[in-house]
Amino acid sequence: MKRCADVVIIGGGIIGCTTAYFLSKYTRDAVLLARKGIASEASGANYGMVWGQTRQPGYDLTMARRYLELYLTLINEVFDTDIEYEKKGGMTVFFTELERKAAEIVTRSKQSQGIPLQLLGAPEVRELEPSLSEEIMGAVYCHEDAQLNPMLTTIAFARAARKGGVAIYTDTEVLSIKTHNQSVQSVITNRGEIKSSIVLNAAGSWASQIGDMVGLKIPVYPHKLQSFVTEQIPHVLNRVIQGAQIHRNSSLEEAVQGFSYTRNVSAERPRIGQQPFHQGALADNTMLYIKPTVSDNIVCGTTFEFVGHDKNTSYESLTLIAANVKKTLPQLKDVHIIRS
Amino acid sequence: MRLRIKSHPILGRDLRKDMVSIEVDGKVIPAYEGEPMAAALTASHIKVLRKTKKRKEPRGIFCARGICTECVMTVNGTPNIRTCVTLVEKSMKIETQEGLGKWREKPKQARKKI
Amino acid sequence: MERKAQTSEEKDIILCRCEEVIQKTIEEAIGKGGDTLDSVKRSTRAGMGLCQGRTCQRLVAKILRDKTGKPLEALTPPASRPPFRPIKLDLLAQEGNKTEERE
Repeated sequence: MKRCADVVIIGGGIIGCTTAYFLSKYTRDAVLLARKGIASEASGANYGMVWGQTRQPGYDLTMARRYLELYLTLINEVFDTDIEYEKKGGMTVFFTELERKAAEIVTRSKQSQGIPLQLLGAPEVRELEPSLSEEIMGAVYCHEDAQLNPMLTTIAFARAARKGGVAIYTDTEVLSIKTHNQSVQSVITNRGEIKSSIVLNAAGSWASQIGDMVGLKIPVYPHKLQSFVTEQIPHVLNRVIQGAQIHRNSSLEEAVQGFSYTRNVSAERPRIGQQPFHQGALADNTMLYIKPTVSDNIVCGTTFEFVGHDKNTSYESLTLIAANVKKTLPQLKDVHIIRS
Repeated sequence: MRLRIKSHPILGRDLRKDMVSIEVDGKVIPAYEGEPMAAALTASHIKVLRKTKKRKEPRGIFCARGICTECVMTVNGTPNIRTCVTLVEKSMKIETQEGLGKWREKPKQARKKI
Repeated sequence: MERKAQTSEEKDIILCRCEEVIQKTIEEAIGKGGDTLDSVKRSTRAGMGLCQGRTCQRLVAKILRDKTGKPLEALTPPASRPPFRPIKLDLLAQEGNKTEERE
């Protein structure tokens, strides 16, 4: 293992690997440390959606669109593996009158901000996705939305970084970071010390633990989303579909919020030290999500919880997810779940 | 050649008498109700149980204990049924599974009146 | 024990029966930096099929050991996740509907 480097990247997920690849164009002396392996954590369990419809207009949306273009270049010129990138559009379906009203508001508002959403009625939904339940009233649809395989994408970036000269060390955990006079001196790992004056914190949901090593308070909290995967069954869905993130007693305003992921991308700093939590029961923090993959497995989700780094799936969560999936795609009820 | 073991030094004699009919790719074969499907298939000299998805190669019993999923067939319209641990029911319709198999079409649910 | 080097045809041996992944594919993934069982699984699909690696994990581990020199005990297996055996979605869905009514 190298004993010194220009830059040490902590984290083998999508952020670490993407950064490593682009850095490799500027230096042949970068090192990436992965506590386990490449895409072992969130990046290996991600839903792989490259969507625009759930973005906030402005910075958020601009970044999303840049990435959509960038992926095409990377696929054609850089990656040596197929990352299963498919631009099939994305659909957020709804079942109730309240959601339909919210969908109308969301569609109009985002259209006026340049996001090409369409409000589809039930017949149009079924033309795009014949397998969907007849109880679905309609959907918000965006033809720009795409999906990919997050594991293969992360690995593709890692391989490109490695080709560019980045040294990637797996099973390497950062134990502490030595500093002197407000600058970084070295990184201590379970396999020895690496001297460097630049450390990139790409540790995902462990970012705050890395921050603690140098006295920085970083308010990143792990957010647990549970899912399960079915056996391979072809020709069920053409694209990712999801539901709005609402609960049973949502107001119209909350329902409108539920059609976007609330993202804090403003320049304002969030309050530090405040533990996040979800209100209500697990059934109120469940959102429909169904992704047909290139391998014909179907990924189904999801529930939302803040429970630290507990990665266990719970029976209760899986039953709530299954109930949602059955309601949306009744023909899946006899399919087997092989992994959660 | 008869493949069923009628008398075993430890298990004793097979005293089962009544057989039922099950269908494999349209052909009727005899089976004991409640025995593992794989036993009935083997007794009828059926070795190829499926063809793989990518290379379309023939597969049959491998681990014989419900772990490897090599022996899966489509049963009564549902694919991926492990024949070594699934028991025979009379009038079962079994098909050699080609790749992922075909799922039986479910009838569309009638629209609920409000 | 010295093993005779394998020919290209011999490397067309299926290691992951469920996903039909051959030895050559696994060795290529290792050659491109995939030095953990998890990484080989993610990039080749070996271990993602119906049996979830029960049949092939040992075999892949041995190839990894041969190619990287890491002993078998040092190879962390990919996470084992429930369900223990394939389970029908409807069984869970019916329970889910009851939970929603209860809460």
